[in-house]
Amino acid sequence: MGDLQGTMAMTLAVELHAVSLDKRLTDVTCQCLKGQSIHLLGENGAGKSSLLEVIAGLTDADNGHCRIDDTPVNALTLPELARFRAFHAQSSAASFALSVNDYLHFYASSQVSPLPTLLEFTMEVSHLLTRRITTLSGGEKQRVELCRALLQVWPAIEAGDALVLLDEPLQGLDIRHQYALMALTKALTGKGNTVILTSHDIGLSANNADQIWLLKNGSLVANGTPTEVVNEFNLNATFGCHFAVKKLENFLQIQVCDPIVMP
Amino acid sequence: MPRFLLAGLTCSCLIVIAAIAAVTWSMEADGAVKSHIFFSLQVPLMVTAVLTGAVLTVSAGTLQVVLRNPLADPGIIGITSGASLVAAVLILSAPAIAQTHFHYILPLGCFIGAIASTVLIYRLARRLQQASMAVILAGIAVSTLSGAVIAWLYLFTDAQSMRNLTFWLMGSLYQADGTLLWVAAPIMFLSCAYQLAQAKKLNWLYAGEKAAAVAGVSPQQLIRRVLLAASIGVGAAVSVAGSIAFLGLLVPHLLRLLVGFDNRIILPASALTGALFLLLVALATELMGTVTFPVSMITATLGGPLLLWAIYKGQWR
Repeated sequence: MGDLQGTMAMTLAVELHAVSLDKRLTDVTCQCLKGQSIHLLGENGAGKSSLLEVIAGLTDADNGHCRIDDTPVNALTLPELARFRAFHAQSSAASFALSVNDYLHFYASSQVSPLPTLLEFTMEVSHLLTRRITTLSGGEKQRVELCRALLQVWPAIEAGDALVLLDEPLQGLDIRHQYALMALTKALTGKGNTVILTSHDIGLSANNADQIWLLKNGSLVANGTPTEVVNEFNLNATFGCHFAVKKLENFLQIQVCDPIVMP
Repeated sequence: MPRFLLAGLTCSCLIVIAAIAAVTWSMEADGAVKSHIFFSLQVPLMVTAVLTGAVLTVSAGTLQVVLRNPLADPGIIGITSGASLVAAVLILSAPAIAQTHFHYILPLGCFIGAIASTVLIYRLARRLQQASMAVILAGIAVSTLSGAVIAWLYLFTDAQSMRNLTFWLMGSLYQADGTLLWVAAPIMFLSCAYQLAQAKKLNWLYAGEKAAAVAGVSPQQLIRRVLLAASIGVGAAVSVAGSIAFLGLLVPHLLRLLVGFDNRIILPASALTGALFLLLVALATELMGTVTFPVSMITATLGGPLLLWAIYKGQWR
């Protein structure tokens, strides 16, 4: 595993240079390597989703450039991107009561039933296949949406060539499925896929990410490995409240130590 | 199941076509007369029935997906009435010179009416993204306005054009003369074919426009193109058969209850069911011999109760 990572670590997967967008992103410069998992943290409205959409090729940056495997992302067409780039959006409203099976099937480029073992093992959706999407609970819907996003590029994932972008994938998931999702991203990056996700769970991110990007008001506060980036100073600058970061054995424990007091 | 459905519908259409032909061939007349009746009356009748039935239902199916509204139908959201309004104005008030070139002017007028109301509805739907009811209400407003204008025109016309118009506004399969049909038929066919070809991409709209972009198609472009194709097709249908109510609303919806939401099945099955339905109307008319039914009278008679049933069953979501 270590050797594999060593050879793959030479390839740049995503490279952002001075990316600016409207009033949402200012001068964002960072990069990640193939096979890494990147967690994007920041307060509400910090520009996390906008940054993901730029990388996904769904929004063009006003300034700067974004490259995927050395190709400018806006030089790739939507069908080209659709083959290797998965994108999970924060919310999608369904106005038709179609079955989960149909819903997944329409977007999938691989078989839906049986689902790929890895996906079924972590996201556990096969018992939902006959349900209508309008009847699912929030967390069930979220798991189905994650599967839908991943199934679209499943052949690329198998080949280890996928770029997986997940906007708040933890939203609505129960604690077991939160950890299952972390296991899933680890399995994906293990095959060589690159995963970039946004999250609000600093603790989970600090202990599962290869890189953390901290975003505030559309600018990058810090980026690097969790041990480099996750410290009291950076977290305070990003979220505007006080944190205590304790390094235990192989584990970063993070707590807010100055809770908000009502006036 | 889907394959059987499509095959069954195709066979049914062919059987009804054969039955309509049989009505003529069983008549007591000599061969030349029979073949004249067949080719100059029944072939146009069947072409009208098949293509208008198909294009109205396919367009409705597409509109429902694109506007994210299961109530969308060319009739309900006002595309048909836009086309009818222009046609009524032309029929009732066109100068004598225009009458001789009606084959071209009438469909053209219908297209303009259909496209104008589609653009209006599309703009509204964009503006009021979350309020899908507003689109329906706007359609009702457009229909009501068209109805009012047509009612005003009634006051100023002679009895004969009025009767022509009434029949035409209720929909009729016998309205089309040869030239008009040969202009409109290819248009309806192409409109259907284009929409059917987009079925896979239309499936990508079920999770919203962003999901469609992620899946590899520009949603704005797709929506604009299929709306244009649908409104041109509906315009052509209105120009040959008048306005036919309810068919488009009902057929795709009932089929979804049966076979699910895959547009690659729903759209062709809708086309075949729409064609079959109008062929049956044509057959009934042929068998009755003397009476020609206004088509909307039949579609509404069957459609109203079916719609109530679907609402009662709570399947209307």
